[in-house]
Amino acid sequence: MDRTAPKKILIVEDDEHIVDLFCAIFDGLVNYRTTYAKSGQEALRVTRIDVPDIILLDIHLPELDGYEVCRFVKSDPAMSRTKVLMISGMAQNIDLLKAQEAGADGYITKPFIPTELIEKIEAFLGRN
Amino acid sequence: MNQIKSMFMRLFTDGERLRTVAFTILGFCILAISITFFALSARMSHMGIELSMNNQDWIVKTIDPTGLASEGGIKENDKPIEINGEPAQLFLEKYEKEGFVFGRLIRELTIIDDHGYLKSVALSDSSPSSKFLTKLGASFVVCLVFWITGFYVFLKRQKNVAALLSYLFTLSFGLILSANMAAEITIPTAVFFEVGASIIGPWLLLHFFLVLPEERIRLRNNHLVYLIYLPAVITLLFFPLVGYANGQPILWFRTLRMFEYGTGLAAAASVVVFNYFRASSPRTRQQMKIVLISCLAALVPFLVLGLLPAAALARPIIPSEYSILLIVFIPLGLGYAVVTEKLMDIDVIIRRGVIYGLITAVMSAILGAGIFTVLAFRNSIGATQEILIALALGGIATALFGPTKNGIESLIDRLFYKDRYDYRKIIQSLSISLNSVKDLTGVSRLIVGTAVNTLNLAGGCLFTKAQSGSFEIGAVQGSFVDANRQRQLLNLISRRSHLKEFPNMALKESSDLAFLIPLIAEEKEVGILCLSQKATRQNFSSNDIFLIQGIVSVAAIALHGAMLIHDVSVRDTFVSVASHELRTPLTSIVGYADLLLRRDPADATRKRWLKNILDNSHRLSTIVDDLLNVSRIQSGRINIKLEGVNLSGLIEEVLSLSRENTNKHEFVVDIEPGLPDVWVDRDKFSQVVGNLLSNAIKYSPNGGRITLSARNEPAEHLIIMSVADEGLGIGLEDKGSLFTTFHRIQRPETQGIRGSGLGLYIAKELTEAMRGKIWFESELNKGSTFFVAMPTQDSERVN
Repeated sequence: MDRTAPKKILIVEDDEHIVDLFCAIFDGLVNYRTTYAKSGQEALRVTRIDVPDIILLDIHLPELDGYEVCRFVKSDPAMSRTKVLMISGMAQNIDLLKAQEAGADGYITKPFIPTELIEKIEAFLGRN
Repeated sequence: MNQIKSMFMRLFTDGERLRTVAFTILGFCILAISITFFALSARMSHMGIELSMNNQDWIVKTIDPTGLASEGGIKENDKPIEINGEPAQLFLEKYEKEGFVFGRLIRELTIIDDHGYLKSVALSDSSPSSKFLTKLGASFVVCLVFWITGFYVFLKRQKNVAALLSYLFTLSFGLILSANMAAEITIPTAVFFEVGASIIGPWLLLHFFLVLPEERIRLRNNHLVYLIYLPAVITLLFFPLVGYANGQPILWFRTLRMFEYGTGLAAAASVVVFNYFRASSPRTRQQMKIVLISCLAALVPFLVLGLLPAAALARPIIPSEYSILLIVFIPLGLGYAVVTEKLMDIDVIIRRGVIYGLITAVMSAILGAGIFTVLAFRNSIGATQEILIALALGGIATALFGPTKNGIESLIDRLFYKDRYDYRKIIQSLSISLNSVKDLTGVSRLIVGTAVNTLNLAGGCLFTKAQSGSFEIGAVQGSFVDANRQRQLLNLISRRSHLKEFPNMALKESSDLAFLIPLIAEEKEVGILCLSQKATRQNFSSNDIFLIQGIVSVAAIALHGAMLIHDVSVRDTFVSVASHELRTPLTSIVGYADLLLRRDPADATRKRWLKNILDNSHRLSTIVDDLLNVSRIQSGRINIKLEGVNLSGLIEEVLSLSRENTNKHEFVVDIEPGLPDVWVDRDKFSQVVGNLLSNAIKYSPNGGRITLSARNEPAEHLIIMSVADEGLGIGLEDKGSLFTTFHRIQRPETQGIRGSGLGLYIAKELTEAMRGKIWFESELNKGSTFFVAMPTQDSERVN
């Protein structure tokens, strides 16, 4: 695996203001190639076409929620190397527990600092 | 205006106090007179005799067994030969026309009996007999119970006319009894008190029974009711003129008086019976039942153990000086009927009385049989064996007490309370079921279902009371399923009075509504259970009322518990959702701030990021305001200041702010000319209109026309304002929960529309707090119209 190749990040988020923020964060970062999905169904469609290295996954999504998407991803052998990082404004222990049960690799609560998000992504990708 | 109103209120309140003080003073005066009469009666003996003319001869007609004449051996048919120191013929001359003399005129008497023996008695050298003192003591005890009950009832229910009447009746009864005794010992003035009180007494009682039932509450303030005192007043006026001569009441007038008392008492008794059988409220029926039971408790033993044996065996089982004590049941019954709030308990008391009476009889039989057995063999057993047998009998009785009690209780319930026996099982089973259900909807459904199914009702509906004080549908079944019907019920609930609440019927309010039952737990109203008539239109029996009472007591506790759990869950959800809503704009603010700090973007990008920070700060501020509003609403802390507001001006103000946020929409204002002012809180109503307008803009993302209309409904003193858009519309799945907290329409088309899901909830709560109504009509993908009906300023004047 080429460690210097841009990593594919799928961002699943329905709030367009947060999507704008993600665009601003990853804009100009050559290490990453970002794709966006606005719903759970759309996210699964995207992953089937192009398996991402990491998914930044919101929990509250239309059609299929973040936990369901995470379960699908984790049960798909084609995505065994894909890391799922759940991002949510739900900050209670029960939400964290549910994310763990769904198989998420990490959990970030909103609001997050972009620098720390990038550090966390790099840590997951084993590049730092 | 308010000052004048408060002055009137103060006068009214002072008037009430004045009335209480005046009647208390009157009561103490009558009490003092009565006690004085009793005290005087205890110091002297009385003759206890009546003379009458028989074939031109005067004879002793009746003898009071407690009087001096009886003690001196004088008997009926003895002939008087000397009265008060002068020959009897001379003394009795002036009474020949009347043919009757009361013993109270006689201080000294000499008679001759059939055998020619002379007997003399004189009050001056005698003291009251022990029998008389016993009778006096018993009468005093009876009066004491009357007075205590009267004063207690009057002071406990100072504003209640029935309480005042029962108080006056108890005082008049005490006066009758004490003055009668005093008149016997020749205190002439006592006769007037006795006659006055006894003339008024029965009519007071009649008045009491006429105004006691709550369904006849209007009669309490109707002056025509005082016409019932007319016979008493006429008799009172005539008594000093034609009713009294030569120191004693005239016989024919006495007969007239007796007829007048009899009429008064018969009328009172008839009203009790009428009230009992024709009562439209179970409360009245129970009140009359208490009165009837107390009268029976007083009179039946008096008849069975006093008057009847006296007539049949010439000797009462209980002498009159003791049987008078039974009369205490009457004031106790009257007082209980006026004072108690737990009228339905009387059946429980009766049932318990019967059960414990039977237990006592069974236990006495067991112990009695044992004692007789021991007595039969007393010569062959010693003291030790006697003690052992006594202990064994005690043990047997103790061991048998539990099974005996349960057996008798079960037997009585099966025989006489069969429905209740079944109903008790239903209540027990409901209680068990409610314990296993914790969610509010489940508890509500179980309560309504049990009531409707067991009583075979046409419908039932349970409204739960939110912390803000508003009522929400908990569960509904049968004829109340219709949403309009539920709105009517809510209306009824908001203007209900205590008189229309269970156990009283609410039929006058609505023909198919039988009961409005407040569910009270820990002294707090947690809900209202509305029960319809029976499906078969049969009346509710007392057993049905018993079942409803049982269901209600179990339901109130279960509902309270479920509501507490629900409140905690709602609060948790609220905190969780609120935190989520706050974190989203905060993420943008923190994110862009961090990017600005660490990167060096081009000017255009920097400005865009700064604008995002600003926008999200505004959004955050709006959400915080909304959350504070919701918190105030839910804790019932909204401060509403109603005033007359010109609607056109207010709409223009709100619209000018909204116009700044969109350039895609066309705004049309269609306000009927000459609208009266609306009676609202200006700021709160601006918020309602603003929220509706903001939603209309947000949920018509492709633009279109937004129409604000207002029209007058003069007949209902309402102005109906509407905000119509041509936007996305509302689907069936969202219609039911549109006005709840954090509800957002989740459709692909609504993605990207920002909002906290609190705007409509706040609009609804504020509208209702200002005595208005809010509703909507909508067609999917064609648009929505939200209507708000608010009272006009002139409606306030009408009210």
